[in-house]
Amino acid sequence: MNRLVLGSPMVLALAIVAGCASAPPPTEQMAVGRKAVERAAGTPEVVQLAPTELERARMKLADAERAMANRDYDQARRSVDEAEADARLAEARAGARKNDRALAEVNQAIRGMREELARRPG
Amino acid sequence: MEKQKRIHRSGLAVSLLCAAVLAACASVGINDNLEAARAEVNSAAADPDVVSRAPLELKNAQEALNRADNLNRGRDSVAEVNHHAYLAAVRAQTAKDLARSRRDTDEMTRMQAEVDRLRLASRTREANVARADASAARTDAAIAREQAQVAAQQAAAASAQAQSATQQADAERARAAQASAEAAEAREKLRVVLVELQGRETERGLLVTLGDVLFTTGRAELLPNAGPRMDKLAAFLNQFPEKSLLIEGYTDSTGSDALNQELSMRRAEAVRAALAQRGVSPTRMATRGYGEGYPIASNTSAEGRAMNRRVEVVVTDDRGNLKPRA
Repeated sequence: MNRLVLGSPMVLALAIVAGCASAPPPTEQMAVGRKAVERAAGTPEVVQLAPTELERARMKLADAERAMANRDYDQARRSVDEAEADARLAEARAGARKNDRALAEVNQAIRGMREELARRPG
Repeated sequence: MEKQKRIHRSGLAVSLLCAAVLAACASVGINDNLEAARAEVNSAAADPDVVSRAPLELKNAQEALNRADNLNRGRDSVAEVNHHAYLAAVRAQTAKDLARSRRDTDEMTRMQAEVDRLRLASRTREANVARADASAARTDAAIAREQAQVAAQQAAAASAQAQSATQQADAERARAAQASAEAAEAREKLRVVLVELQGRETERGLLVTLGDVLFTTGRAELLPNAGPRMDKLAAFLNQFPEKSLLIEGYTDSTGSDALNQELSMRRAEAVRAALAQRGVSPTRMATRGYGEGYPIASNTSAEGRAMNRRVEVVVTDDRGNLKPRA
């Protein structure tokens, strides 16, 4: 009983100090980060061509959600911003890989056509 | 003096630099994450493709790097420095990927033009080939038509030749048939005459026997009733002017040999004269008298003796040979 009465104000004070030192909850950033990761995860070419980058974004978002639950808003902000950056990197990387392949195919097709033209007498 | 001043000045510069470095080291901690991010951002900024194709992302990366630097200089929390360094590095990579992706797209657009050009060239070539093929096919068809025409002409000529040959063969056959018919007719005529003349084929040739009844007994003159028979024989012989004849006289055994010999000779001569009178050339005829030799029947009976008294006319065989008695 005594310990409880004595402990409560201390816990309260600590919480207030922590709350004052910490930033407000990054609600808006969380929304933006979730949206970014969601978009990347919902794009088949990203799932297929940049799975590692996508997974990193997901883990960061999960970190952010955990930090939010723990009211560690600084950590949540950092994680969700990184998750967003990772998601954008995943999209850019998937796009680059897709275009690399498409370009290689076009180049091969052109080589084939050139060879065909060279082989056949006009 | 000048030189000394310069040394002083450069010495001062080195000192200042050392101080600056020391100050930097003292005030700013070396953060590996931050330096890695800087390298990433710098390499992106050094790529002209990134500068021209992903300027916004590059700017975001540089801003994050500046923020990280500022935080680092302000001795802020390592977590915050690392966070912004991380954002800078990831954005620099994003800028690079975007630049590559966009360069690929531009390249593909350029390639598409090349593909179109090649496709057109290929189609043009195909059209040319098709035209050449069509032309070759037309030429082939013309040649085939020409060949067919020539073949048809040849076939017609061959057919005409065959027809002509058939006609010739038919004519040939008709002629042969006619000749054969004529030969048969001639043979038949000869046979008829031979029957009438009571002639027969023997190994010596065609033999016509003129019997005793044509002569008076013991004499060599032909009786008047021998006339028709002589006519027939002469006519027959005149039908075959190429054949020679041998006229042979025979008697029976009555009387002397010498008489019989003479009589047989004279009778043969009489027949020759009669035939000559009827137009048979004397040069074709030879006579022999055999007397009572070569009897054809027994001399013991009257009938036999009558048969032995005879004149035989031997006509040459088909090879023209006359075979007198040995």
